[in-house]
Amino acid sequence: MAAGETIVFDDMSKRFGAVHAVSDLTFTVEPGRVTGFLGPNGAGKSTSLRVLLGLVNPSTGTATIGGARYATLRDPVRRVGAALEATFHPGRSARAHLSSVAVAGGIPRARVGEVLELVGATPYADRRVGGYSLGMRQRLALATALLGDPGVLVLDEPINGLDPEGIRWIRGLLRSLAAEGRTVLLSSHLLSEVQQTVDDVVVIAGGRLRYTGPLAGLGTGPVTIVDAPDRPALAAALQGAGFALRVDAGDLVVDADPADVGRVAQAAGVALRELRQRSGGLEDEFLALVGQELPPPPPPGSTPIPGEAPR
Amino acid sequence: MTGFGRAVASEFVKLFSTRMWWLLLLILVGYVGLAAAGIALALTLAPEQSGMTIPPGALAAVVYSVATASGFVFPVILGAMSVTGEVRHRTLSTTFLATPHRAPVLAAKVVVAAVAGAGYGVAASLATVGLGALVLGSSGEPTALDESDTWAMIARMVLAMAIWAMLGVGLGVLVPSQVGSIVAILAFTQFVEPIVRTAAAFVEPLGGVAKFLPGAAGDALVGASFYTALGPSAQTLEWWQGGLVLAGYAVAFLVAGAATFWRRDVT
Ligand SMILES: Nc1ncnc2c1ncn2[C@@H]1O[C@H](COP(=O)(O)OP(=O)(O)OP(=O)(O)O)[C@@H](O)[C@H]1O
Ligand SMILES: [Mg+2]
Repeated sequence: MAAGETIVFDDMSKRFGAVHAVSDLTFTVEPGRVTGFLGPNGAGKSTSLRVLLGLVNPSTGTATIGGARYATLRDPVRRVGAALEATFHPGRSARAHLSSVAVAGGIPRARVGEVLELVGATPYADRRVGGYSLGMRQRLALATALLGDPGVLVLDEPINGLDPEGIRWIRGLLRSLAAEGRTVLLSSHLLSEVQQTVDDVVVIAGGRLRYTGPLAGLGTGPVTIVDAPDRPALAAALQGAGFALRVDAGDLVVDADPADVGRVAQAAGVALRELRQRSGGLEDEFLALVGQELPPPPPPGSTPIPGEAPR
Repeated sequence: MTGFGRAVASEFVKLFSTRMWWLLLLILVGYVGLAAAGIALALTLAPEQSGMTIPPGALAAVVYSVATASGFVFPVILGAMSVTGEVRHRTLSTTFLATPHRAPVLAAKVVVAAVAGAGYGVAASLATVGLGALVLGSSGEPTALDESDTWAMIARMVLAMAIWAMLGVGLGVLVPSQVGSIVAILAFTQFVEPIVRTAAAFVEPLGGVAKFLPGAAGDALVGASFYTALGPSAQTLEWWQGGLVLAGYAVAFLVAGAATFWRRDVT
């Protein structure tokens, strides 16, 4: 396994003609952590990742991996694994696709079977990619990234298209890769999609940096939803322990960790019916950062128009 | 293996892992084989009606050279598709991630195209020489297979097909749209150049220009074809000049494409 390396964007800007896709982007991605690169559609995530990988020339500034531009890396496939759009030649099998990359990257062919097994693509590895579903192609893209057992992983929306089991699996995989000391950078336009996976977040919108730092630094921290058959007793116990309480859409919301809430309830001898963590302020804070508000709730009494999907 | 060696090996894996190469090969062999047999029949059964004045002893060469005269578009398409296929299926990112220096990638495509083009040349020659000689022999015409000139021409046909394939890579990088490049290849080779060359056989000043067209240069390299058989007025280059002119087109296309499309952002 190659060692994790630090990714540095230094005042990087990219213009496509009149379009300022990315402006003055500066941030650092550390090894041993999973970093979420977040922003709405058109924020400049893919453009930034492509600059990092030497596919797009920045207009100004630099993006480096371990202090070097991607194009100057000696064995790029062994040092950096990347999955961008999951696009392949439809007439080629997964195995042949991986072989072509392995050969170009100086990776032993035996590794192809290993990564196919790792992403669960072995059963369809010899079928032509043209017939694959989006999730199957995402797995193949991930297998391509893992081919060189690299210390740095750069993944553009890797979760998009995966089924629930696949999402859980990739979350575990990314966490374990970071735990081995690798650098993991993944993009998404949904904070909720990566919230359980990432340690750090970089938020961009309109091509500009909005936030960079630990996930916890975004928003107000975790909130807990709790309920008990004897709700007044629960509320009294929590207030007695000094927690702030409120009722939100019928739920009892506590600004604290679920473990602490449970401990207080147990000490007071209150049996619980419900105890769970909610993303709380994070999603709201994220949307505020990227300048998008939640759509207003429909006016009371309004009904969906027949034939139109309910909103 | 060096970085370049790896890039070449990877391009071979890519070429042989889709059906394109053998589909094109199959059509090429069937097409030129049947065309050679048909022309051999026409020229031996009713030479006065063919409208061609074949110098005595050149009949076999005209028949065999159908492999390149009619088959040269196949290696061009194969070479072009090695670039345009990547554009169409958005796989250039994957290619450049594995080999970040782009010039060696293009050079690797040229090498692989040359080898594949030579292979096409061998297969197409087998088809035209095999079927052509069969027809000629059974009509009592000389097959010329015992002449070293014939084998030298076959070697030049293989070389021509290799150069055509490299020219195709250049065309692909100059016109990266798959449909666009195929339309350009077919329009130029099947329409523009044949008209200019046919006209040049009758209009003296045009001949000076027409002999430098790629198809004419390719025919000159091989040394025989219908056009050279059309009449003594058709001007041609020496075989080595033809080869250099054809290779010149390939180099010009490759350099122009490398300086433009090949350097662009891949988004
Ligand atoms: N090749 C290009 N030519 C012109 N404009 C481009 C090009 N590529 C990207 N852009 C523009 O750059 C901006 C950023 O696009 P980018 O694809 O990086 O966004 P993104 O954050 O990846 O969005 P998404 O979540 O939809 O994938 C957009 O305004 C886009 O239109
Ligand atoms: Mg994107």
